[in-house]
Amino acid sequence: MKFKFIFILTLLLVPLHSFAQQRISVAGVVTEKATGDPIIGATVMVKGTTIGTVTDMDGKYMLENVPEDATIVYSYVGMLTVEEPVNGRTTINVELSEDVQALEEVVVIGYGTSKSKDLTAPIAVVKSEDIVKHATASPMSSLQGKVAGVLINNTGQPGAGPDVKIRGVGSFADTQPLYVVDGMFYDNINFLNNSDIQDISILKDASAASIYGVRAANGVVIVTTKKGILNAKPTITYDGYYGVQRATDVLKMANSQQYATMQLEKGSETDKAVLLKSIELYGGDQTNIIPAVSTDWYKELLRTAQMQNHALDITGGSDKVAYSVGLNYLFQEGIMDAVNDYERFNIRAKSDYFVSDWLKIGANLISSNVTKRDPNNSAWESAFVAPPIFPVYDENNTAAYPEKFASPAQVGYSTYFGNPVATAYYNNAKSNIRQFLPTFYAELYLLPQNRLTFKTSYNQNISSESGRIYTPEFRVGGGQENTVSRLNKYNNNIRNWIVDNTLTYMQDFDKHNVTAMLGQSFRSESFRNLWGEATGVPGDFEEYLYLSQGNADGRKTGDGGYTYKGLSYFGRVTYNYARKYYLSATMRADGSSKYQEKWGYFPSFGVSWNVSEEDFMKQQNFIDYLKLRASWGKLGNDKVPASDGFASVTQNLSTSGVFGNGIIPGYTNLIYFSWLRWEVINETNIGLEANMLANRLHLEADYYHRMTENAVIDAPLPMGAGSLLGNYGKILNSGVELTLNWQDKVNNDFSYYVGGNITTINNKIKDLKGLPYLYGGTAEFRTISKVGGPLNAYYGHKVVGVYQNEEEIKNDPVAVANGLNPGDFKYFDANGDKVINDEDRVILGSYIPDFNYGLNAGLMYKNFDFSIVMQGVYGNEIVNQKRGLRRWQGDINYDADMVVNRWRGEGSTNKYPSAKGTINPWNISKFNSFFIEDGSYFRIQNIQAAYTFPKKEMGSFTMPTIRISLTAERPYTYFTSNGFTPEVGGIGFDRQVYPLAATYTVGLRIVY
Amino acid sequence: MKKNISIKGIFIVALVSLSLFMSGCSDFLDKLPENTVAQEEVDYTNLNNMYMPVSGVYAVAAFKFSFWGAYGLIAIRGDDVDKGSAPNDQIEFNYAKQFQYDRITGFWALNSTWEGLYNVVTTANAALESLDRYKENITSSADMERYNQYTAEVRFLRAMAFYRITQYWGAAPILIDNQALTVEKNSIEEVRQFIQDEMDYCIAHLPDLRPNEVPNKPGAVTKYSALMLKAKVALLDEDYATVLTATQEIIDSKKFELYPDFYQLFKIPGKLSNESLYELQFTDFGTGSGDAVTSDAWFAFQGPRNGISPIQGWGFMVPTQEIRSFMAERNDSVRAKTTFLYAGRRTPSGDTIPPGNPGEPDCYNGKAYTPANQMTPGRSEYGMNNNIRVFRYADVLLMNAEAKVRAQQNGDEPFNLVRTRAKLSPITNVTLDQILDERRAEFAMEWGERFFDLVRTGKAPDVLSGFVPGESEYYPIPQNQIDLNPNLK
Repeated sequence: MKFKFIFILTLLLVPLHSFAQQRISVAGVVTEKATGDPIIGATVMVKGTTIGTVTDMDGKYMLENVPEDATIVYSYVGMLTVEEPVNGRTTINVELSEDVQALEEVVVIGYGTSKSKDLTAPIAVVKSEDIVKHATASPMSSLQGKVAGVLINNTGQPGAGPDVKIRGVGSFADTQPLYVVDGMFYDNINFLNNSDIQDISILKDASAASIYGVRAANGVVIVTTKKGILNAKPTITYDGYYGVQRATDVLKMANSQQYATMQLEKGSETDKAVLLKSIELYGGDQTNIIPAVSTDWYKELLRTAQMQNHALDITGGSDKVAYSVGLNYLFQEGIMDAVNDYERFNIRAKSDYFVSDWLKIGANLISSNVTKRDPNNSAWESAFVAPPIFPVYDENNTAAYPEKFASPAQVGYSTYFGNPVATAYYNNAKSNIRQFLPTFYAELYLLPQNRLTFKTSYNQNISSESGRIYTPEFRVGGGQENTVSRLNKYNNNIRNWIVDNTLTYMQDFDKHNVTAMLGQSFRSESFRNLWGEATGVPGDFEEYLYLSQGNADGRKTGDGGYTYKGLSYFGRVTYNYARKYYLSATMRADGSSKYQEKWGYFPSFGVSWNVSEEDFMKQQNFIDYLKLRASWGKLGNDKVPASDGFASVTQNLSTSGVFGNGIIPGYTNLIYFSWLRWEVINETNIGLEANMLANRLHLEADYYHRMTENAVIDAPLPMGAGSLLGNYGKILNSGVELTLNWQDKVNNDFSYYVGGNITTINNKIKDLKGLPYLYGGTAEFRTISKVGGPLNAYYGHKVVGVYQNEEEIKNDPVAVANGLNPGDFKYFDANGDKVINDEDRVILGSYIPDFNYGLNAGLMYKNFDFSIVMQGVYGNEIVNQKRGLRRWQGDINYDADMVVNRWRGEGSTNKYPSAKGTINPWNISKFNSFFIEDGSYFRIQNIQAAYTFPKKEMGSFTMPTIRISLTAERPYTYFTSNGFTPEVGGIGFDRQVYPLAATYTVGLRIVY
Repeated sequence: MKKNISIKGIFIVALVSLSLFMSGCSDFLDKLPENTVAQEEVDYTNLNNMYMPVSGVYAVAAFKFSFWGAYGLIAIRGDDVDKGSAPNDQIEFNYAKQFQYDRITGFWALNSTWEGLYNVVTTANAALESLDRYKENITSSADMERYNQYTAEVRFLRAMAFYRITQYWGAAPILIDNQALTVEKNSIEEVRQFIQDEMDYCIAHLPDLRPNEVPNKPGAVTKYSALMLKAKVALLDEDYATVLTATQEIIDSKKFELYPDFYQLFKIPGKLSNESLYELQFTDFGTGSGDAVTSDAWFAFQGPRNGISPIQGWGFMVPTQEIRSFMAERNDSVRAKTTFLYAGRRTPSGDTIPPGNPGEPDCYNGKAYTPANQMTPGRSEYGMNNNIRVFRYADVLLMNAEAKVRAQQNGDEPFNLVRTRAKLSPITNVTLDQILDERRAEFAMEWGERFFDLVRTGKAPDVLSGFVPGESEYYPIPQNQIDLNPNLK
């Protein structure tokens, strides 16, 4: 580490710039370009000095003692800064234009900040206003469709955060980005309220993210919570909404008549007997065999649920202290009609003290307290399979207790089936999650003008989750029962901390501007888990739910945990010449206790060229700002295991042989083992940013090329020896991100904006260490990762049609050999050998979209404002695994689409099987393209209309600003797949996905 | 000036603290993984633990050998077993029964069966490696004897897996080196010779005891289990001389006897009886809740549909009409009572079996039935706490009788022991056909015995529709396994 000290010493020895020029006085007027109005209070400074002033009521200023060859900097909040070389002039009038595209905005980057226009990397910033307008429980959910390159997959379950992918899928393991909240590392930010956040910076490319080294492969999301402002009057803001959530696009299932039709057409006596039994018990049409009871299980399971959020913020500051405190409360019910909700109460306080001109300290505390009651999600699948021909309740079901639920066994169904409402009802899962994020920092300004800053910070994440899952004693019938109550309790504790030390040096040498940062960081991540289980715990009251109340016999306990430590050194140098040519380089050395190989090195380089600063660009006024940039960097992904296999001994009940009535402790020690190392990503990015037409049109375009190396792959071993992880793979993600925004302030009463973004993803496996392919998924629903193809592509038979008549059957040796009938699928014979077997399987689709996009528009007219956000994905497929369940159980219910469109004789359809065909193993036991559906969708994500009552003086009392808004979150989605939502997550298997709801809210904001 | 001093002071403090952080961390990253004991940490000098890897193999074998899909595949092909359950559930069992093997190359259960059996093999191989590491620390001859016996136990269980493998697939790889997984197939003869050779080692080193009298570990395999497996493999090969010597040695030990009550033999009272040479053992520890060691759904797979717990299951592997008529014609009432669990009737033990729907089974496998009143109160899983019988002394006697008759000797004595236990009158000068019929009745629904008898006696093409000699004897190797190891093609 010696080089660091030498570097620091070198910086100290740099001589101060001396001034020996002629000095003059300069005066002028600063006006706003759009309106010509004078700007009051604009800052006018002589660059690189402390000489400065502010403009008066008429926008006028006067500076004395200005060196002839100095440069004067004119700046004002929300305006683009202008630099004017004096060149001996004594009068300089300046027009400032609105910083519509936020070029002067300070962007949070890793271990520092930068002006937006000085960046060499694509960093997207999302502001508080754009987050709070969404009625979402997790802040990341509100970013859906907003940022190019970021693909967000939401789920409807209260308290469950979205799945976030930045620039494709580069790993078989975890692909969630790293979240850095006020300096602390997190796996998600579901504990934060939308109103806790000041802004979110998304570091998309390697040159921005590689300062986070081995954690950065999936992209980095830096979250800054709200902070105070010096010399600001306290602002008190209340922001809240109340609303309702309703499931949209509820999947239409077959009613009893449709179901009976299908069952009868199959021609099985068993199926007929079940229908007759239902008619016997619950009535119906005996002659046509249509049961009277027709239960819509999804309807029984769904409810209109409420959601509310209230947030109070107080922000302000004196000349030495800036503070922001806040508290907020969120309550969201789940749309499953069961004990299912999410409640969060957050308190937050942040303060910064400017102790002296060389010392600033600050502390921050966020506390989050969540109570979550999770539903039994298997009820969704149960509702899909449960036939409509039995009711929810049946007083005559004598075996049932404590509630008189009807059982599918009463009408003759096997133990495969259950009553979905009972499944949801007999569930009692609750957890309390408490999260604390205390941080402290001190900043020392070691040279005048903050040229050398030392910052040390200590950040912690202290979290605990204590929860329970209680299953009461109950019986519905047919195997749906629990003969002895069971209580499982668990406690998870997390204590993570990070100590960061950075030294930042800034200096301008004439036109050479240098910023250098050196840093060092320690971190520790610990997780501990302890659980216990007991049976026979009485469940009448919440207060009874203790393990000690249960049977002493057969109690179980267990624990687990991990501790990883990390040590890192990092540095960054950015240099620019005359704010035209930019160069940045970063390097991080990351040490991790997790891996055998301890150290990894992650460099990056970036260059950019502000073309618009060139003289030849000053001749035109079409392009106001143009920057070209390119970068390369290396990133690591440490979300992969450290080792795999059985180097350790497995010793438990299943490895201990039974002899008589007891066991002899035993172990197994299979020896397939591999040490793993983190995955590495090499990423190249080329992009441009431009503002045109008086800064009203903003364009940003990037091409990215991310190659994952050492991708950890779970390769199955032959001979049933299981599977073993290895750093085998090379995966490429490449694509283009394009963002285009137009905004215009027509006059003081009317302004508007429209914009959109699109991201393409091309996902390809480049190498599997010699293997031609790897299987994934399950034996029944196979996925394949083939070299040259996408990750985990669906792999099976392609349906090319449906046999329409006997003639067609007779002429096809495949149909003859397999005893097929009209109404059965005709498969693609890939190798043309007139036999359909596993060798004819082809790639049927992929869960990775070709592109995703977002659109947004808004307008402000006087006190009204209106905005709309739309988004979608295109070109991905999903597996309708719900339909595939029929391979295990022929008599499950049908979705209505399958009944209505079934093959019913020649020419009726070339896509759907006949009723009989729906249970022919030929059609359902082979994974085929019938189960693959288009996952593309388009959604109106958010519509908001609001009216603002401006601040009014009423005598001595000032009425606060009041804004009333109406918001519809996800009111409309267009998609064609047969499910509740096309957002199924994971690798696109739609089986028991929690439905997404539309949320309609009324919001109120009061700013005082 | 004051300010400058403090800046300097702070600066120095900062740099010092920075460098302190940097220097104090050379061992910061050295950290053992939490909550795992590395294999290198196993104390191989502690010979008290030498049985642990052996016990581990018993556990894995009991679970994998009781895998319901594997049982379905081994049982389905005889004329005694139908698929059962809902007509389309696990339809591939019907393809197997119809010998349409090209339709089941992708059947998941066939693949799981292969994986499960070879998992027993690799677990056993690993246990043998562990035992060899203990051996390096052995100094006394008593410990050496234990080592020999333990390795023999493991090698028996491994050979048992190969026995099943060769029953399903005929030719298959003899995998004895866990690191060489892309092995090629061995011939049928090689696999069976391997098992025979292994049994010679086991016979020499396993205790001369009946399994239920092994001290401290009742039901562990013994010399007689090994003799039995030797006889069973010889029977597959129609090597009746070996069958005769091996079974005769078991009989001559006078350690075994038939359990008098054939009905209870398969229930809790018949666990580890004097008839048992090898059982898959499970337990609920005698408690109504908490931990229990169970089979891989072997019982539930065959339990009656639509029942009320604990008498309920999925209703697979049910008796055919043929076996029911056969028993009726013979007036084989004890065996019929034991083997057939009729839907819509009360069992002799007092449980009511619900009637089946049309098209679904009206009778289940009675040998997989454990009455509710024999179960530990509180337990609700069908068959819990019962064992699965694998090798029985009755088979020793009938194999012995058959081998004798084939060697032109009289087989009446062993034959009639089995027959009279079933309350049937003795036969004199028993013929081969009579012995085969007796086997059919005695071992109905058990481990595909009927199918293998039909194959080795050449009767399969006449009795089993669709059976093609030279093609139908063995299942195809699962496609998935060929994909992973093309050497298996």
